[in-house]
Amino acid sequence: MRGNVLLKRSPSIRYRLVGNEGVVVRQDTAEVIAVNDVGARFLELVPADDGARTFESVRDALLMEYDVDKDVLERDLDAFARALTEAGVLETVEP
Amino acid sequence: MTSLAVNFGARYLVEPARFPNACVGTRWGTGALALDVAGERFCIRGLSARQEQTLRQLWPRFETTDPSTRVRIDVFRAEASSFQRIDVRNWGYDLDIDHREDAVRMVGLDFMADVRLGPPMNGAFWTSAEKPRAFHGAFENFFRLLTAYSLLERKGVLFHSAAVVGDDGSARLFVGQSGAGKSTVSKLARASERLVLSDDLNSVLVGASGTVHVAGSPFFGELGARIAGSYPLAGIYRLKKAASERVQPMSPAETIASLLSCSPFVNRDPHRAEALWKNLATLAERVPGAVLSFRRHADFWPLLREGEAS
Repeated sequence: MRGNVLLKRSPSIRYRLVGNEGVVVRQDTAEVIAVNDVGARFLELVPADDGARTFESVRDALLMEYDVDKDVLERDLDAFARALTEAGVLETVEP
Repeated sequence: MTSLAVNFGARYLVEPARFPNACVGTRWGTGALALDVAGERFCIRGLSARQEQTLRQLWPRFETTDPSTRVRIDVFRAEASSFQRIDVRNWGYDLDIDHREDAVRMVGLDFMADVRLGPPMNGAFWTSAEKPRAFHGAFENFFRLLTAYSLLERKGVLFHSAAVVGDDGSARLFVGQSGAGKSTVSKLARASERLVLSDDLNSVLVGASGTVHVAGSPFFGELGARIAGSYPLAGIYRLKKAASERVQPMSPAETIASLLSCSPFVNRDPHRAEALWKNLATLAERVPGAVLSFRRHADFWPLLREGEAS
């Protein structure tokens, strides 16, 4: 995923934090996924409603918070973001 | 007008715009029946003698003479010509549901229904069905939804699940998508002479004392005791078929996610999202959740007891 791609949470999903994990619900289909602490933090950093944020901005914020190799994080986040986009949880806007 | 509002009822009704605007109509008869399901008392009125007999034969152990009915359902006639003729062979049945802030409307095979959420909750059920099999099918589809909403209001949830009572008198709830093994677990339980409350839909409630319990269910697939009564809930298990038995604890988030996907009717209602979340979070706090990996013919109960004791 290119760094300047804008991400936002789909309006059709509801997201809640439970402890340091997250629960994501697609309201229209009642599909549900649970995400771990990093996934939860990623989703917290991606705006819902009217906002959007670049992929690289979210990545950089997580790099500040987690002691992890940049390339590993980028690769994992890329896969995660693509999966969430395919599942209808995230929307992307090409710049 | 949203596309949902425009399409509501179109699959089942010849003229969807003629869905009743108010809970009125011509009753089938003067028959009436009171049912106690998971502690809620429903009064069903306006039945024909035949319809009344169908429900009495279906759910005799849920009948009640308690006069303190909270939910009233009026049964009205609908013309058969109101409904589309549908070839149900190889057909996946899915109700048309219109979610509103203070009501929920539904249309299915041979029926329409309007539930005003109140309080108090009351409903109207219009059907063209009087013969036992057709009426049973139509009414039960409606009654399942009504029970789900009633439970939600009382800090409970209706789950697609199997519920089995162990030797210790406590129930375990087994959840999972279609094919996960709810029927298998139920059959294994029956073979080992354990009580299967239902292999399909179970009511879970938090009592006044804070104890979580499973109530006897009138709804089942192939197996169900169809008894009233209530059993403390000792564990929630998400099913997974595997080569060997294993119990792996779930985090509260995983437990809530597992339960949310198995909470039919209300989990798609955006107006009920907060209430459902709150009830599920309470359940996840009070009852441990785990993934149960199991084989078809194995006895996993010792593993459950071991996990619950630790």
